[in-house]
Amino acid sequence: MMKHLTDATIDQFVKKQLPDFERLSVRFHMTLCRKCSKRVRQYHDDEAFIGAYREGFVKMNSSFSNIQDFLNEKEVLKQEQ
Amino acid sequence: MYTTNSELLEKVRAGDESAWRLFRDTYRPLIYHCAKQHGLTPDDYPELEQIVLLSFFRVNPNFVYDPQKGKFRSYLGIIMKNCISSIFRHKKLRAEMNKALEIQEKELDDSFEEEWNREWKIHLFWLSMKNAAEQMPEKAFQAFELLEMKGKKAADVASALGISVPSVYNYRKKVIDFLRMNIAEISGEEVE
Repeated sequence: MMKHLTDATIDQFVKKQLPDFERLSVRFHMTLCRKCSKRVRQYHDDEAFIGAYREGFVKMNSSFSNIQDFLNEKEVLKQEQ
Repeated sequence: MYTTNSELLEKVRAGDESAWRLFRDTYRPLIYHCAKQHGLTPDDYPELEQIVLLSFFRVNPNFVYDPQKGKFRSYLGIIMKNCISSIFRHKKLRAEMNKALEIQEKELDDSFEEEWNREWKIHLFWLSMKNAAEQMPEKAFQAFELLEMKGKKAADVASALGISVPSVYNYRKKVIDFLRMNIAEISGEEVE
């Protein structure tokens, strides 16, 4: 009986982290297995959804926490004076 | 409980202090980030935050937001742009028409709308992440955050949280489904 792809393999495949040969074997498996092919498509959709926000979100979070640190430091200095 | 912008604005207008704090906390990251993107210095951020928030009510103390007249996003965007412009103008006066500031103000006119719409989408995502952190099981949110936002490997996430690798992916999927629905809900509830 054919073994289905694991979530970890699909994750690495979609994120292009698999070596060439394993990548090829995943693609081959997808041509034979509709279920896995559908799971990979779904994973691609989810990755596109998250990917569209990821960079902006990380940037917004880091600039906000840097600014908060800056303002907190300023507040501490003000109180010390 | 989710509060729509119009309900929240109404409470702020009525002098509800906790609504005022919620209003400030909700929009602070967006305001600060937008200020940074448009070249204001960290010293200007608190001033910008205050004039943006006060602008809602300063023009008319009996201000009532009218959803028929446009989207909340556009309304806040116009206020942001005017307030950033106003800070540039004050700085310009202080710096006696400093050339660099003139260029920055010109760039603000050219690029504001496109960048504002992008920042607004990130803001909606940021709100949904906050909702997910509050409403999803703690481990589910942590697994998603470590895997997708911090780029950790699934095996490392699993061992850090004491769960199996398939559970990491199950949690990931649940949080993504939550985020999709929540963003749609927030966008839908955004006053049109």
